[in-house]
Amino acid sequence: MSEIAALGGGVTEQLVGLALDAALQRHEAIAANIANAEVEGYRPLTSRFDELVESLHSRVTDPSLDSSSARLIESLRGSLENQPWMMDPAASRVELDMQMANLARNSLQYQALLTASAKLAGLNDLAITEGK
Amino acid sequence: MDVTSIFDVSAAGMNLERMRLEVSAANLANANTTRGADGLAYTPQQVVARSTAPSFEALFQGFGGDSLAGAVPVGQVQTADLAPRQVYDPSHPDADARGFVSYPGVNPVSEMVNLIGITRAYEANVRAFNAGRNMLLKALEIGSGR
Repeated sequence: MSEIAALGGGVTEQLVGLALDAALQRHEAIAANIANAEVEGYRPLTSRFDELVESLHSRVTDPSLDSSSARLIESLRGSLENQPWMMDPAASRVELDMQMANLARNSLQYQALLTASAKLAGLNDLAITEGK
Repeated sequence: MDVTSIFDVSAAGMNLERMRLEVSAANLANANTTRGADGLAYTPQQVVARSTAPSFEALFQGFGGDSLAGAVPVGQVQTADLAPRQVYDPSHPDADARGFVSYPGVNPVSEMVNLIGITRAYEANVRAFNAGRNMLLKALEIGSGR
């Protein structure tokens, strides 16, 4: 069972999948910010994923807390689905160039994640074809 | 060093140049403003850029090669110390007892030169940003056989 899980449902694959979802959500936030750039009183949104990963990291590194990875990922996914966005604490109005910079960074991260998951799948592929 | 901090540094540079452009535009727009909300002539503004003071943590990490942590510029809008331009115009409602009107000491020539510098500096930041992005994209091709 654990061998099957290692092929598709390992912690790394789940985290990569979660991070891909988060990149899409961040993209939605950026798109909403650009769309509402000229709306009076609009506060830019940002994704909560980075903050959540930060808390995940502190929970994994703190030995006193429960650090079952499956449970951690589950809680991360839950909080990501409940409240994906928050007000950006660093900005009070939409700056288009900053949004474009975030967009470029986000798309780069998305490509990096896709490349990483392709490499992960490549490893599994190698195992299935017995290294041929 | 976190690769995405390249983007943070360039984005901070773009932010600073935009702030300088806003201040220059405000100076040019108010070059003939003789009375503001406080009843006085508009005072020209300027942006003073400073590097953020590196925290202890940043300095500590600097020993590991991450010396760019404190290299992010932060702009601050300050009043430029320029004497007002005195124009003799006794019929002007804001003229003083001697008939002189105080116009803001905005120098259009130096503001235009500033604009050129701001545009080029902004472009340079965008180039640096794109160069970092292209390098990271190229790094993704490592081992892909292309």
